[in-house]
Amino acid sequence: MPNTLLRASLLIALTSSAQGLSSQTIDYEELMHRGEIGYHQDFAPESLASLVGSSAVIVKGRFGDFLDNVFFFGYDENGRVITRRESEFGDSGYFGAERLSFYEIIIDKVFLGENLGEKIILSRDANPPSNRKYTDPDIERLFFLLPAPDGTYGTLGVVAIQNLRAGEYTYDTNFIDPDSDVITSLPFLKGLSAEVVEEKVREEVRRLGEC
Amino acid sequence: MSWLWWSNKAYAVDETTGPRIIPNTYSFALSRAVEVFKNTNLKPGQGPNGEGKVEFVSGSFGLFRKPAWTRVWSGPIECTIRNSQGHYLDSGICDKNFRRADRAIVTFNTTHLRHKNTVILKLSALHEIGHVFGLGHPAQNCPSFMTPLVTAFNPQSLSPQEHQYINSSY
Repeated sequence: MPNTLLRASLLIALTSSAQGLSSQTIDYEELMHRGEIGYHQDFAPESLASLVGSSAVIVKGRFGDFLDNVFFFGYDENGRVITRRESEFGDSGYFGAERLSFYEIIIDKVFLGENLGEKIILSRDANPPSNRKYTDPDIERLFFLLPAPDGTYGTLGVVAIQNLRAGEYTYDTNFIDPDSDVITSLPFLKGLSAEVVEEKVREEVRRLGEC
Repeated sequence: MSWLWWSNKAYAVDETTGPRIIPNTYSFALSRAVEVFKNTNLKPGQGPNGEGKVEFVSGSFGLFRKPAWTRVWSGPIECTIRNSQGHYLDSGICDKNFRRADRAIVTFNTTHLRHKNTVILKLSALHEIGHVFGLGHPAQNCPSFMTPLVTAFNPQSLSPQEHQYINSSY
């Protein structure tokens, strides 16, 4: 089955379970006013409250299959990904396309979000991976996600995927450029064990849900 | 300055957020923004190979993408590069002498900008056009529309330094 069809059929199966999301409590504009994200400024949450509050879904899980990569021209009014063949645009529009990759995320634990099921689909602005170094299915990760119009999920930045390595959560700054291999910790997570981080995430979710 | 406009199929017509005294559309905001650059030495589209083509695109790109971004090319070679967070940065491979940028596409993400007023749309357009012509980001407290965070408080005209930069570069 072609990748696009595989993604579409998975999406139909999964979107019904992606309804009933908890909404994020800190929106993009608020993050901009706080100086934690900008027009061209990487997402740099200053606290766990920002990271948690800017997410609609938080899960612990692993990357599953790489599903597809398309030329992406935005979403249509029904939320579907607009993707076209190069020949439809000629030289002009093809230049403006983004590359969008889709990955399966296998959920082990849900911190925030309802009725997610066992799998969701992550969409990322990225070229097709030449290998799975940065999406290694054996590594457990915390995903801080926002819903996309097409029923998949995305992140505000690389810090929103925290990888469990040697007992601590870190993030890769090199998702797209494998030559700049840097593994970094968010200052407010540095030195904390995975168990402590997960408990703090649980606490933040609980706190943000209070009146 | 001439400029081109196209919109993806999500918004086949120029985006309008409702009846107002002045039209609150991307194209109106762009026409206002382009005015700001008119008294400089810029002559887009007048190079021997049509250099200076600037295209503006609007579309719905979702909550977790930026409100706007700019990509620049020199012929088939892209002068901008996407970083790990999905931002387009100057890759450093183009310059004004040997590999001169001759084409840019500015994308507006309607998901974020749909409900913004004309001032913000104009400032966003100014900011991105500034990138097209090589302006970077000054500190947030500088009196410029090129600060990293675009707000309604940003000035809507070029600073003397920015004016001088453009005049000396083109």
